[in-house]
Amino acid sequence: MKKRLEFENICKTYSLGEVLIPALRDVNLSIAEGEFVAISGPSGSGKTTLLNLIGLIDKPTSGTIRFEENIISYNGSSKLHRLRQARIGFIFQSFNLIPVLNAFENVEYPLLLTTVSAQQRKKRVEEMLDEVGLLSLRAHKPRELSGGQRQRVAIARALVHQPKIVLADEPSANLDTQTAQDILQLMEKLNREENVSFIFSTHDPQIVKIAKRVVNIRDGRISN
Amino acid sequence: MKTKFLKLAFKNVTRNMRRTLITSMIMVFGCIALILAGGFIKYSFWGLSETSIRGRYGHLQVFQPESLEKEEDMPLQYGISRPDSLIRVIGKLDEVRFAMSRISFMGLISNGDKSVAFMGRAVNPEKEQKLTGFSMKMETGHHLGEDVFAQNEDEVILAKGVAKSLKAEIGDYLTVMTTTTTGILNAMDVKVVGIFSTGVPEMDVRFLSVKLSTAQTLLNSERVSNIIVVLNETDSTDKVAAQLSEHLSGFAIKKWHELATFYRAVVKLYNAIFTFLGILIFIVVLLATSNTMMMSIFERTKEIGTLMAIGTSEKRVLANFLMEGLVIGLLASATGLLLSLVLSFVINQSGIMMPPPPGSTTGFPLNVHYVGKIYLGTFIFMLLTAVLSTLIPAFKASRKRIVDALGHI
Repeated sequence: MKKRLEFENICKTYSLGEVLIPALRDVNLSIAEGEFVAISGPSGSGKTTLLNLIGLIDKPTSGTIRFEENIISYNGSSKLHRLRQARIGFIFQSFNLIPVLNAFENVEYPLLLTTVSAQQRKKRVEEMLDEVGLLSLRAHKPRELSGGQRQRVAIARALVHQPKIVLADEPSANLDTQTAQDILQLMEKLNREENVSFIFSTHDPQIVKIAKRVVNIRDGRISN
Repeated sequence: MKTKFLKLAFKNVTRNMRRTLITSMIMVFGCIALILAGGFIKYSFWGLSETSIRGRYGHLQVFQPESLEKEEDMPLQYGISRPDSLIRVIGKLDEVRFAMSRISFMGLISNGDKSVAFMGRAVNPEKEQKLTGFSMKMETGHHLGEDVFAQNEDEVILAKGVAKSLKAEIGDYLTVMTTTTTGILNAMDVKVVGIFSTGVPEMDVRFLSVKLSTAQTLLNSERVSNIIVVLNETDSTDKVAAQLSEHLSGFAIKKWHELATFYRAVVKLYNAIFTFLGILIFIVVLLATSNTMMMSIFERTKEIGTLMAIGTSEKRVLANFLMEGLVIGLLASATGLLLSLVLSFVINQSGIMMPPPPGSTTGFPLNVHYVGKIYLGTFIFMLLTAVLSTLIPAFKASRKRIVDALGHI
């Protein structure tokens, strides 16, 4: 399988005043095309930091990140935002939908950053809303949706521009057990159907079970 | 696609309606203040310019150049000879309503017991009344030359201060004394036919007016001091001045505003006040809008992080917030313009009287001119201020670290 992402000796250290706090230590990791990976570990183990680096929204202190075999350079932000916009999808723990936009407009937003025509945008957004079972609620604002429905909109938004990798930071944390299971199953289905690599962080053992590959992280080190 | 972002900006602006309304109201009041002040100042300029033209200067004046450069040793030393031929040439121009001669002279006027110094103006009564009838308020009696049975009479009309000082009444005879063009003291009796007010206290105690023929007899000269040109439209002043310069070589042509030093001083002062007002409003709007945008950005920090994480560029984040500033500016300016129109109409219809301005004895109606340039200028000024005040908060928003923004609570 084609490698999507590679981490080589990645370290990330935060500084709190004069105190240096290592969040990731010497991480080596490789994610292939179409993988469904859970990053598991207790709170403060470095899951979110790792996801931030995978999502190219944070910069490692040292080490090399390769995305589709190209070394990521952090000198110019324009290349990075284009990479994120074209290749990466994000699902956030608290959904992070734009409150003034309805479900359709929230899903449409990433496509507004591309050159996709209005007609194609409409078609693609409707496909995605249909896929997550929310086409009938397309005109609803986030406040008019339940937690599970909001997370479905977030998933549709993460996938609408056909990214290569979708990152989900604790996607089930704000949901009840049943809804969390449903959301994970939806992600797994989309992973299968769209051949998109899914990487999600969780500390819930029930959710971890669904993953095809589990990366355990503890004190900033990958332990398996 | 840009309309989508504009729509998003509009939605974001209406997100916190109370805050947006407060900011918009500040901008609306700014708009109204600028437009009403500008309209009132324009009205004042118009009033003052018409008063200057009608009351004193006409639109243009023709002089012998020496009279502007040198001090006369004798009255009318640098006056214009054969003014009638010049008046005929000037009268042929399309934009000219009429032209007339004037003599400015000084001397003493006496009732036999008391003498006072005066500043006199000798005029063609019929033409002069067409020009200054507007500004010269006759309190008793009538203008020069109105008595058809006394056309050859040497008449005088006195400013009310002069009349009061000499205890003169209509029908009284006074003696006017001055030096002739050859330096000899000359005197003649004149009949008081009118007492008027100039509206300027300093002028009211010194001013009088006689017919041209009276002054020419008194001064023993056929010359006149200058020729006053009155136009159909004030706007054609520059054009006619240029034409006269071509037609009347050897003469100096002065436009009314070159002669009206008081008008120029007032324009300068009012423009400075208006600029100061503009700066104050600019600062108030800048602070209000900046504050709104800063609060809005602070509240939406996590959202900014989300948008940037999913691929929104820094430039797009900046543009989105600038667009929000533009939307607020657009809505507030449009409302401000509309309300200014309504308020101007109400003020103009209300008939409110303003107190007399400094140096004047009569009040004037409060009026606000509708000036397209002021409306357009204020609209653009407000838009630019709104966008400018958004610039710094928006720039800060676009430079946020995504991870920090996402972690914002």
